[in-house]
Amino acid sequence: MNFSAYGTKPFEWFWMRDTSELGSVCGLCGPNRMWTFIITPIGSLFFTILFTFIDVTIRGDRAREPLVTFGFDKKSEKAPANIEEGAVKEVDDDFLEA
Amino acid sequence: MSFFASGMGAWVVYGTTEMGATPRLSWLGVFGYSIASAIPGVFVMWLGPRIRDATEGEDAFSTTDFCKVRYGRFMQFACAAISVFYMWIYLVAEFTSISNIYALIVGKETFDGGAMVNLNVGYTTAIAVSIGVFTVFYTGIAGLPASIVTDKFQGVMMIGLVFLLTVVVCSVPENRVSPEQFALASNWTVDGFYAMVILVIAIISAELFNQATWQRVWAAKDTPSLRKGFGLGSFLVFTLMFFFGIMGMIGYAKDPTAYDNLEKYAYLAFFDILQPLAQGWHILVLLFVTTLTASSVDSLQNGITCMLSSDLLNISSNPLMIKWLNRLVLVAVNIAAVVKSSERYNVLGLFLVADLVCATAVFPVFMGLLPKKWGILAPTELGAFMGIIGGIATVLVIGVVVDYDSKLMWLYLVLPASFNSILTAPIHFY
Repeated sequence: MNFSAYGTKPFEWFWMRDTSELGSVCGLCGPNRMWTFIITPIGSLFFTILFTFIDVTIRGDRAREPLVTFGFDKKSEKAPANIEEGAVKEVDDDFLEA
Repeated sequence: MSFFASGMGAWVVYGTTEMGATPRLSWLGVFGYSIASAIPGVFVMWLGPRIRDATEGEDAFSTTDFCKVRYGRFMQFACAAISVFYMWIYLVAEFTSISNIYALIVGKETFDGGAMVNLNVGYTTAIAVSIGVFTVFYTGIAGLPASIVTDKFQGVMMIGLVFLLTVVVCSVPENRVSPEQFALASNWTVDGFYAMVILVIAIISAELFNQATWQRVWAAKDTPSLRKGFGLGSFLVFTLMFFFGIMGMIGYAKDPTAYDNLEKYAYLAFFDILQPLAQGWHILVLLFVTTLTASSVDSLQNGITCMLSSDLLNISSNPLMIKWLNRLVLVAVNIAAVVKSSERYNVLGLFLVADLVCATAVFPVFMGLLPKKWGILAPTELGAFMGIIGGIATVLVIGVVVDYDSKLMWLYLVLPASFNSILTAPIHFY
C-alpha cells in the first residue's frame, strides 16, 4: 500500500484515502487503520485527564466554572457568577445519585 | 421503531453487503458492521437517562446542550461542530447512495472508468434534490413530531419489505447456491477482524454525536419507554444489517469470478441477486430504499437544527422568528449536502472520516457524566477541550509515524516525546 500522500499533508491521515486497487473496503482493512481507531480515543482520554489535572492544579475551584459566558445565557442574567459552579455540582450530585 | 427507522439509511444496502461480497472480510466484516450499528442504541439506553437528568430544568434538546450545562460554551461549540460535521457527512452519504441506486436500477451509468469522470450527474442530482425538497417540506412544517410519525410508518414498511424480499429473492432458482459455492464467500479472516474492530469503535464514537438519535432520548415519554425503544431498535438494526450482509455473500457465491475480476462491484451485490426478478420488484425495491433514505434524512435535518434551538430560545422569544431561522438553516444545510453528493464520494470513506473526528471527542464529552468526586477523571471545560485537541494531534502523529516525513517533525514536538512513543508503539511494532 502506498502511503506517500500522507507524508506531505498532516491532515491527510484523517481521510484514510484508499490508494490500493482493491476498492473502498480497503479503507477498513489493515492494522494501521485499526490502531488509529484504537489509539485516537485513548489519546484524547489521556490529554483530557492531563489537562484537567493541570487546570485544577493551577486554577483550583475556578477550573470547574465555564471559560466564557454570553450575555444571553439565562443563568448568567439571573444569578451571580458563582451560581455556575453550583449548577455543575448539582449535575454531579444527580449523577452520583443515579 | 423510531431509532431503527432513523438509523437505517439507503447505505444499509451498500454497507454490510459490501462486507459480505468481499471474501477477505466475510463473516467478521458483516458481524462487525451489524453489531457496530446496533451497539450505539444500547449505549444510549444507559447514557440517555443520565444525560436527560443532567439537563433537567434547562432548555436542552441535544448533547450539545448537555455540554453547555456540564462544561460551558467552549465545549458546546466543540460538540456542535463535531456533531454538525458528522450529520452533514451522513446527509451527503444518504444523497449519494440514493442517487446511485436510482441510476443503477434505471440503467444509467454513473462512472466512466476509462476517462475517470462521473456520468449522468444531472440525473443523480435531480434525485438528491427531490428527496431533499420533499423531506425539508415536511420537517420544515412539522419538525421532530413529523419525523417520529414517519419513522414509525417507515419502520413497519421496512420490516414488511425485507420479509417479502427475503422470500422472493430466495425462491428464485437463479439465486440458488450450492454449499461449495457459499463456502467461497464464507470465511473467517484477519482482515475481517481488523474491519470489525475499526467499525465497532468508529460507529460507536460517531453515533454518540448523532443528534437525531439524542432527540429521541428527549422525546421519549419516560426512561422505561426509552430503554425499551432503543433496545428493540438495536435488535432490529442488527437483524437488518446482518440480512443484507448475507445477501452480499449469496451475491458473491453466485458469481465469484466476476467479483474477483472487478467486473461486478461488491457494494452492488444486493442488486445482483435482484436482477432475475421482474421489473415490478425493482420498483418495490426503489420504494424501499427511498423510504430508508427519507427516514434518515428527515431525522438528520431535525438533528442539525435542534442544536440551535436552545440558544435561539434564549436570544428570541418570537416563535415565528425561531421557526424561520430553523428553516433557513435547514435549507442551507441541504443545498450544501446535495452539491457535495453530486461529487459522488465513496460512502464508506466519507463515514470513516467523520467517525475518526468523532473518536477524538467521545471521551472528553461523555466523561462529563462522571461526578466531581472522581477528581481529575471528571474533566474541567479546559481539560475536555484540550482532550479533543489532543485527540486530533494523535491522529496527525499517527499519520506521520505511518509514513515518516522529516518535514513534519514539528508534529513530534507538539506532543511529549514519551507520550508519542507509548501511543505509536503498536504501529512501530507492527
